[in-house]
Amino acid sequence: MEKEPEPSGTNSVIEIKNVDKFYGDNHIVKNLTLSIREREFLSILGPSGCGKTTLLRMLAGFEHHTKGEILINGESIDDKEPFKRNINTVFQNYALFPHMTIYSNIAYGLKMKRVKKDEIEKRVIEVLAMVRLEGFENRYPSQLSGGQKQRVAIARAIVNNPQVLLLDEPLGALDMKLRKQMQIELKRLQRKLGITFVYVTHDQEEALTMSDRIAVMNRGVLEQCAPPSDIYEKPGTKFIADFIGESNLFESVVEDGSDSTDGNAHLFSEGGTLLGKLEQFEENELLYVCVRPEKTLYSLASVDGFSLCGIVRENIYLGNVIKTIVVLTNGQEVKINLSPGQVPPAIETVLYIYWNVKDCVMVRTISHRIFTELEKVKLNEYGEVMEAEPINKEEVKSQEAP
Amino acid sequence: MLFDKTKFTSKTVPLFVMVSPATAWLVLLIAIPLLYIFVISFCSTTESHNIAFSFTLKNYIKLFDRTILSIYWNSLSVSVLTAVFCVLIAYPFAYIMVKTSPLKRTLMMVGLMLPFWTNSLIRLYSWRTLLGRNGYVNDFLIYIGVINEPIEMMFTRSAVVLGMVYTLLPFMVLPIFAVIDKLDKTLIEASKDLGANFIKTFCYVILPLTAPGIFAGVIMVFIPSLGLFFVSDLMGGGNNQIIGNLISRQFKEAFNWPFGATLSIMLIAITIFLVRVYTKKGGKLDELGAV
Ligand SMILES: Nc1ncnc2c1ncn2[C@@H]1O[C@H](COP(=O)(O)OP(=O)(O)OP(=O)(O)O)[C@@H](O)[C@H]1O
Ligand SMILES: [Mg+2]
Repeated sequence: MEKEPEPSGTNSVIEIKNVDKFYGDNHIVKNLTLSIREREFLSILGPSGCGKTTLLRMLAGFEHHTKGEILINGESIDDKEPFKRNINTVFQNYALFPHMTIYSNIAYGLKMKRVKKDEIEKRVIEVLAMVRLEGFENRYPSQLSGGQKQRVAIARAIVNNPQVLLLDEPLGALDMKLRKQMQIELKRLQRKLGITFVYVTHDQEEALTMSDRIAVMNRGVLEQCAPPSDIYEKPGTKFIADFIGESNLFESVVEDGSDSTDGNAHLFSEGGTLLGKLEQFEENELLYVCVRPEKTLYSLASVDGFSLCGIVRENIYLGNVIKTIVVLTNGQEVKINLSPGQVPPAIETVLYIYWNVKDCVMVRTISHRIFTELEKVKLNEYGEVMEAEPINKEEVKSQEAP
Repeated sequence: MLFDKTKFTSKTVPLFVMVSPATAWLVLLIAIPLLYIFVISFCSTTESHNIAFSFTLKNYIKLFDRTILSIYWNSLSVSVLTAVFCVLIAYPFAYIMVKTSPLKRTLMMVGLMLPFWTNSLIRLYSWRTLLGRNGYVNDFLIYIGVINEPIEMMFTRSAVVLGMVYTLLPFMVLPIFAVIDKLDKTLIEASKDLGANFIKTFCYVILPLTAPGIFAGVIMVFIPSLGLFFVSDLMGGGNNQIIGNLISRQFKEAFNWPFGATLSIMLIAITIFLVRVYTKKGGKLDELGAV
């Protein structure tokens, strides 16, 4: 079962094409398209209830998708029972058989496939060594600690040498330290075995450190699937910019007729004007400028193109960083990270926020595409007021509505 | 006992007040009658069927009479058959009950329990209209030409077993239902995930993990089925005696109370033995509805 460690391939093992899942009237997974590659470590990240487990269960065969297509090695899985797929699952609650010893638990899958007895024994011993549980063969699951159970669950799955391993928050129940340790062990195993891991988590740090690619889901929609550095540095949507790491988001519209001789986009936000990257814009399009706190700068005089004026509310010392919180005129809080050497601005100092245009990312909401048309209609209606306080007007309206 | 072990402080008073009425009832209704039964099982009878309070073991020796032993044998075999059929019917029933929608589950539960609000004698009598020589089943079988003569279905051992199963089925369904309902569904998924089809999953995972419920159900069915004399009276017509018949006859017809008491003590001993086996195997008493 040993394979040469190889970087993740480009051939896809699993193709998910326009898959929808309904529970009754609830639309849980929405038009999801994703291809999972050979030997890659793919994390599925998202807030609670966004449909991660549901997606995983569809891959494992415990749930049926309502619409769309799922292909494994190019074959549709529609009629493949779970026990006929070359995919194994590590369950969130481990799901070890309580009436069987660790040995029997791990041997179960092989026994079902009618592997010969001595072959089973060889592989179980081998895999026990791999998860560092030698000598635990005759214990029962109830006699193990959480971390040990976890490792048995992993051993029970990988002993079958599956093509894909599905893991549903496998480290969820472990304490911080053990979690870190298991993360490293999991990653090591994945490299060594060359198995595709589909790893569900809602811990973004875990996803960022372990994955080759991260698929971020929100409310059943796949927002972006990209390598960790891209997810962090080039978030594709507003949700991701907000969800992954810390960021300052400025809701803005493109300034009318900004043909931008300086190569920057001139934008309007509630707090003032600001600069962003020049991209393809719709007129009056609503977009978000995302700047990480460590890339956010301040000065006492206003900077060309920016008019985000604010007042320092507090400085928080966090050891390796100092976090300065600035409140803008519209009430928005902006976080600035300073390295410990720097002297933070005094509280109640009035200052201007700016950034280098190359450090910001322009993002939109995922529903943007659908709603652009709608937004335009709304905004045009308030065309005159828009230039002064475009967004505020809308907010006031929506607050009054209920 | 309470007095010599514990100091009688103000704290023990409420405890004493709370526990003592229950204890008093238990002593009055269970301990004293049991003790009485135990004592007279060593007595003999006078000419006029009164109890002669003199120690003898002849009642216990009489247990080894061939007629008595054959009734014990018959009774045990009826009970074993009853338990087996109850398991075979109750397990799928309970399994479906767990799997189905809440509405259907409630309907199945009501369907199971509803008959118990009518007198069991009446319900047993109604089997006669179905299975008797001129019953509907015979009529039907003759009508479709399977048989020419009505066949004797009542007053056989099968009829007694049928009556027992019919009477005791809920006591098998309930513990099995409880244990299947509690079964962690992800274990079934894990089994399928590891390549087991339903039959293998059932044999290796579901059955072993629900066995305690079957065990509890067997105890709950087996023990009463030794004593339900009216079932064998009505369905077996007196040809198929069980231990319960034997006991009731000693008290009601033979007026041999001491021997009846001995048979009762034996029944209690069998019960205690079975419950001991059950608890030894890790069964819990409260799952039997005791405690
Ligand atoms: N069997 C079911 N019937 C109806 N709704 C369900 C069912 N299972 C899940 N859901 C719903 O589907 C949505 C997504 O559930 P899912 O378990 O996939 O979330 P998740 O992303 O795994 O969340 P978490 O991080 O909390 O585990 C939830 O709103 C949940 O209520
Ligand atoms: Mg989940």
